[in-house]
Amino acid sequence: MMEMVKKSFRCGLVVALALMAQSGVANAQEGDEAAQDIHNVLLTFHLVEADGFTDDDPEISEVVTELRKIFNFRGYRLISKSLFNVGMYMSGSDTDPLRGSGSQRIVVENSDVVLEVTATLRAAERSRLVRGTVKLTDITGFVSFERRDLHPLLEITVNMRDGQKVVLGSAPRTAGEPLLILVVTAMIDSGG
Amino acid sequence: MDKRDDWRDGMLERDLDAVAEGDPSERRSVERIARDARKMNALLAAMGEQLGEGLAEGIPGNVDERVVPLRRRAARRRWAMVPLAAAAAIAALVLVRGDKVEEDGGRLVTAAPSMVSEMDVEADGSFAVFPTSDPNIAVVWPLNLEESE
Repeated sequence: MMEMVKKSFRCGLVVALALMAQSGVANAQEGDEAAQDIHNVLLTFHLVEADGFTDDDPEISEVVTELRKIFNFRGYRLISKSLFNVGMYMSGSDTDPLRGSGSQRIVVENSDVVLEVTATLRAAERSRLVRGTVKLTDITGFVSFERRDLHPLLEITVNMRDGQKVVLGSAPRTAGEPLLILVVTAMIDSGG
Repeated sequence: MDKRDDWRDGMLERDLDAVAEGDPSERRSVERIARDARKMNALLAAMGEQLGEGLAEGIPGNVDERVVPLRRRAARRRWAMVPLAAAAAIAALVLVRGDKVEEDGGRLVTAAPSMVSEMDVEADGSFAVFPTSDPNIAVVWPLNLEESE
């Protein structure tokens, strides 16, 4: 009986090792692709309002499909799309020396609402991953003023892969208003 | 958890129940985890059965179970262990590597732990990370936000 168990275990181990070797080859290939530093990161921001809109918007259909599996909001409306390119530069920092940042105002259609989205990025050398702090702030009424003390609707730091969509929930602008959802997509350019 | 009988690991069930007591979104998350775990169990069982059947068909002289010599029965039992061990090894690799597996046309994601650790989220307050069935979409949700009824 023990011999049988040992033999079975050995067979299982051989299969596992074979599959791990295959995995190692795949990882090595991924490593080759990540041999260059990140030059630019193109960030796309879809600002989505939860509730009140039951039609499907093809621009955000993939995200909405996933959100419907998680939440019970009645609908999702795309209220703005903006994008900006963040150039990465080599800083003197020991950790994640590649840095970059950018910001953009978002003017919501048919309303006086003005929001500001800012992104501060950093990355390690020869990495395919960026770590970004994304902040969404309601600056309505403060466009021309100092707004250092405004509390952001959301501020989250997260790692992003190339092409990954990170869906960030945020607080409503005022009580009773629909929640805002910011979908961030990072397209990483390593100059390759 | 209205289907708690489906959970074989009582300790895990209690842990998840304790986590889910506080917040509706956490409860939904726990229910999703439970559903995914059940799917994975079913998938692993199906993989084991398929491998076992394939091997049994390859054994010559498999005409009458009653006349199979004792020595041969022992050999068959021994070989029957191989696919089970292989299935366990594959399952472990699938879980560790975080790959996705197709089941009944739907995509079953087992990448939850790896995606959450890969994203390494930081925020002011409490939040939840919801991996989705699309590996390129992740949802980060502050836990103090209300969800529509």
